[in-house]
Amino acid sequence: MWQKVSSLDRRWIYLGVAICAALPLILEFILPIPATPPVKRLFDTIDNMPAGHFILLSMDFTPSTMPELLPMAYAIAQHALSRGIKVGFMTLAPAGPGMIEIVLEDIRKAYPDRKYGEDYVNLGFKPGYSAVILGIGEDLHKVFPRDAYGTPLSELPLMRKIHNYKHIELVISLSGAAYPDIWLLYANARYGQAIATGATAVMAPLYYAYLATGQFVGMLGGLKGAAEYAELVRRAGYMRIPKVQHRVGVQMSSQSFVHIYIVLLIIVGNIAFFFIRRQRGR
Amino acid sequence: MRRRVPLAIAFIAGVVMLIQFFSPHPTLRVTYETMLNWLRIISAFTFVLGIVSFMRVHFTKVTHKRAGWGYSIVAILGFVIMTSLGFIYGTGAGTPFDKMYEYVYAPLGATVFSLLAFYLASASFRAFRARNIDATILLVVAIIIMLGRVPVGSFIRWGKFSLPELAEWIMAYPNMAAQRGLLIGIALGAICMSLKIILGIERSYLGRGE
Repeated sequence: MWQKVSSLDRRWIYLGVAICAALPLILEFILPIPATPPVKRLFDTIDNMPAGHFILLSMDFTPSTMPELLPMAYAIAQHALSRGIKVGFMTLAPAGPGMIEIVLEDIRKAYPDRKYGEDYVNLGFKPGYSAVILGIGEDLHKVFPRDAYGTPLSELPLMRKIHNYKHIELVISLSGAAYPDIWLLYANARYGQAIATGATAVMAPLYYAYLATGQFVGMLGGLKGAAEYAELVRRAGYMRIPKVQHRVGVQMSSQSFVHIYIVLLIIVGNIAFFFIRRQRGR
Repeated sequence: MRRRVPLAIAFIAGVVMLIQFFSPHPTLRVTYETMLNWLRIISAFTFVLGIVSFMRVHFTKVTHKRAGWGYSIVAILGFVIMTSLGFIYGTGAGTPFDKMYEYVYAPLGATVFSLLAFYLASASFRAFRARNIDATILLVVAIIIMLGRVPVGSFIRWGKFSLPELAEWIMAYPNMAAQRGLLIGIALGAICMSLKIILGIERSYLGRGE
């Protein structure tokens, strides 16, 4: 019997994953999501920042990691814009400009009182990530002479005051690759720029070393980090795009079910393993 | 000569970039900014190389009808369609390029990445076994992290401590210590490799031809 369990057809396992992932999405229930210290640190940094300061939100990711990282971009952008903090959107990933557009499409509708070029700006993509990060430290206008829509930066009131890292309060790199490391290596180590990150759950464990040293002022790890941040933003009354917060909460419930299912699979697999080993020992 | 010139360029560029880091001299500042400009231009050209290589690989596959050549047609069509839409209508919000990105490319990318959950579940069931003490520790920690990193974990408590707190402690201390060791090792390796390239000891980037 245990041999049968041990060699269970993988299609049954896949069906279980599909059911566990889909049920919470269909029933739309949300479990409570308490904030962890790395998320709270980033929230507090932006929450204590005076209005009018400028942050750079570098959306260094592509659609493959979108489910985890896009909700982070929504939550951070809403937090900053609601508090009157100016936001510069950019990306180091070649397929990243589309991600910025998805967020900006909703931001334009939710924040009619915030003007493009005065409260936020889209710098788009530039190739050569290390040269771009180092170049911003010298003169941002040389790296990005125009915004993503072709308007010279000198014509945008917001960007007339922003020239290098001295004028940027915080850089937040959202990525499923090594871009946050590169921001740290070049912008933090060389120019002393404050950096925070939003990373996929796979990448997040790597960054605890930088959190401990204070090189990252905060971190959102995976979908859970996004959900925690969105919840903090909602509680503080800054949430203007509630569909995103609702969606990420439901997705976390879905992830809960899949994790429980995988844990059960591991336990059943090990019970079968022990019984088979005992039978072979006899 | 074909080897000496690139070696000399690598040596000069490496030494200049190394010195400028420690000196605020105006000449070195200008040199530094110029080299950053070169780097950005060269990076842009790598895209051209990437496109040429991509097209060559897939065209060869289609013309020789190698295994999976049908997928190569889809890859070429995808490239041609997206590039054409971008050139004809632009890439701004609401353009056909933007629609294709948002409603075709983005869901496809996310779907492929999501398939990992299915493979992970199957692999965990078959391979995650408590065969010895080390594997058992790994298994227990994995279960704590898996449950501690989702909301349902906050319902599991031992007195004052909850499972997410235990998971966070594992990430912030044992995990961080191991990651720090790895990072220091990687950094030392990168420094050694950089010095070897600057000094011309490491020459694999030149290719094999004389």
